[in-house]
Amino acid sequence: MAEIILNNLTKVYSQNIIAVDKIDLKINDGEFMVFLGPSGCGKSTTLRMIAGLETITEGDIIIGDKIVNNVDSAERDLAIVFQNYALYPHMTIKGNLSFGLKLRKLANAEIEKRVMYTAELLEIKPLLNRKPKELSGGQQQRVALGRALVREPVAFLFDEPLSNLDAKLRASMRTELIKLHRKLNTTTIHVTHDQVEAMTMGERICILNQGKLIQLGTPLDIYNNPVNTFVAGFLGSPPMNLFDTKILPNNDCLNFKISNNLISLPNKEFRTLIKYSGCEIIFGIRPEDLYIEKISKNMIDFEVSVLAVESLGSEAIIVANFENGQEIYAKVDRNFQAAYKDKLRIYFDFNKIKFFNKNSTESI
Amino acid sequence: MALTIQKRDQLFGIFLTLPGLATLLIIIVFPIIFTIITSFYDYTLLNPHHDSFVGLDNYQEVIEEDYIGDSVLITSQFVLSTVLIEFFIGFIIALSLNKVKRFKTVYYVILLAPLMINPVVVGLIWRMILHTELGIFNYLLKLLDINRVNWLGDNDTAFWTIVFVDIWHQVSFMTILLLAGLSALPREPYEAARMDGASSLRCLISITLPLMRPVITVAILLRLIFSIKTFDIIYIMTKGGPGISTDLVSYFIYRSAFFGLDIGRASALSVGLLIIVLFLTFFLYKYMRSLN
Repeated sequence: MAEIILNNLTKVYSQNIIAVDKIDLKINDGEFMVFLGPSGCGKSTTLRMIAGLETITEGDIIIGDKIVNNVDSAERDLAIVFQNYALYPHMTIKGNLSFGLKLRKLANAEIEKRVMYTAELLEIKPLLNRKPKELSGGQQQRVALGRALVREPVAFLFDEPLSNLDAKLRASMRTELIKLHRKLNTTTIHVTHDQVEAMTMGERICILNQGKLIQLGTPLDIYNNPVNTFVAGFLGSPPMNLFDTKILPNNDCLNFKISNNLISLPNKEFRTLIKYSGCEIIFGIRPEDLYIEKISKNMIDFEVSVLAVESLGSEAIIVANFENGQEIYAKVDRNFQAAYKDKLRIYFDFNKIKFFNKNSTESI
Repeated sequence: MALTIQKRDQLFGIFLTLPGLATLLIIIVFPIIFTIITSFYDYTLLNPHHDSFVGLDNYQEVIEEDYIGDSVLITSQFVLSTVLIEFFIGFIIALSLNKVKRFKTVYYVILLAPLMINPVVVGLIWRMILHTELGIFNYLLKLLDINRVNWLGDNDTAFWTIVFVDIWHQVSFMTILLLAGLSALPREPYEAARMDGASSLRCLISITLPLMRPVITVAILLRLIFSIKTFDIIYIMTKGGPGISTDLVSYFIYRSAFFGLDIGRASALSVGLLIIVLFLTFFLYKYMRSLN
C-alpha cells in the first residue's frame, strides 16, 4: 500500500504533441481515484507513465516515498488491468495468474495458496485449467483482475477495464470492483471515459482534458460545482444546459435574455455577478433542475417549444427549443407526455443556476 | 426452365475458373499422371514408348541403386542445414527489424533483393564471386594473406558453399514470414509481462516463442518443402559434384533421366520425391486447418 504523487508530470510526444501537461496530483494511500476524460485527454498516458510503460518527459512520480521515474515497471510493484485484458493466450488461467509470482521466485506453496485464494475470491476456480480463448469476455476480465490481485501490489492501475463488457455485466462488475476495493483497501487508479463509472466508483475524480488536470474532487462536488463549461458539459446525461447570454443590469436585479425570455435575478443573491454587468456570460442549468410546474417560491420560468419527449422508463427527457432555435433538455417525470411543437413553460430554482465566464469558460 | 439464382451463380463461377483449371490440368496434373504411369514402364529416351510394362521394377531398381542412399543423405543434410540456419538467422533478423522504427523501407528492400533474383542468376553470380582464380572472394582472402580456396571444386567445401548460397538466397523468405508474424503479435501481453516483472529474454521465451509457434511451424514447413526440391543452384554451380558431394535427389533424378536416359526409373524416383513433398504438404495443410 502506498500513496502516489505526481509532480509536474508532463509527457511530450515527438512533433511536440503534449499528451500530459504539468499534472500535480496526490493519490492517498488506499484511495480509489478515477481519471475521467474524453478520449485523447491524456488519462491513459498518465496511467501508463505511473506504470512505467511510458517514459516521462518532465516531472516526478513518487510511489510511497520513492521517486520512481527511472525505476523499471517490474520494480514499481504495481499491477495493471488492461482494457482488452492482455491475458497470455498460450497459458492456462492458472499459468496466467502464477506467471508474475514465478518470476518473483515465490515458493510453490505460496504461489498455489495465492492463486487459489484469488480464484476463489473472483469465482474463477473452475476455469483454472482453461485457456483464455475458451472464456467469455466477462470471465477473461475476471482473470485479468485476478492476475493483478494475486500479485498483492502496492497499487492497482485499471485502464478502462470495463469498457469491453456489455452494459449489464459492466454494471455488476462496477459493484464488484467497489466491493473488492472495500475489502482490500489497496490504492487504485481507475481510468475511464464513462461518467457513470466515475461517479459510482470514485472516492475522488480527477477530470482531465487536453492533457491538463481540470478538476479534482469527490463525485458529488464535481457534479454540483463544475469549475468550467467543459466539466459541466462532460458530466451528466444529458449534460448541463448551457446558454450564451449577457447581463443587463437594472436597479436591484440582474436581467438576462435567453432567446425571447427575460430572466430577472435578485441582485443580493448574486453579488459576485455584479462586476460582470454588461458582459457576455454563460448560463448553466442541469436538466434535472428543470420542472414543468412551479414547486417552490424561488422559481422562475421560460417558455419553450417541445421537439421530442424521450421516455427512458424511469424518467422522461424533454428536448425542446427556444424561439432562436437553441435546444434545452429537461429531465421530468416518466409519465410526462407532449406533442411536437407544444408550448411549454419550464421552471427552475434560481439557486441551481451556474454561471461561467464566456472567455475563460470558468465558473463564476 | 429458369435456373435458380444459386445455380446461375454456380455456373458463372465454373465459367470463370475454367481457364485456370484447364491450364492447371495441362501443366500440372497431366505431367504428374504421365510421370506416375511412366514409372511403371521401361521407358527410355532411346525407346520413348509405353510398350513394355514392368510393374514395380523401376521402384525396385531405385531402392537397390548404389548411390541413391548417398543422395538421400546429402539431401537430408542440405535440407536440415539450410532450413535450420535460415530459421535462426531469419528469426534474429526479424526480431531486430521488428524493433526498427526508422528507414524500415530501406531495410525491407535490401532484405527482399536476393529473393527477387532468379535462382539461376543467383547461381551464376555466386559462381563468379567464388571463382578460384578470378573471384572476388578469393581476392579478398589473398589481401588477408589467406590461401585460395576452391569453393565449389573441393569435396570439403562444395556442400557448405551450396548451403551458404541457398541461405543467402532464401533467408529473406523466412525473415519476411517471421517478421509478418512478429508484427501481428499483440502488444499488451508484453506490457502485462513487464508489469509482472519479466526480462526481455523471459518475454522472448515465455511469450514471443509460444505465440509465434504457428508462424514458425508454417515457415519451417514451407521452407522444408521448397528446400527438398532444390535443383537450380546445383545445376548451375556444381552439377552435383565434385564427385557426388552435392548430388541432391532432384539432381540425381535429372541425371537418371537425361544422362542415364532412363525416364522410367527417373519417374519412379520423382514419384518417391512427390510422396515425401505431398506428405509434408498434407501435414502443413492439417496444421493450418487446426489453427482455425
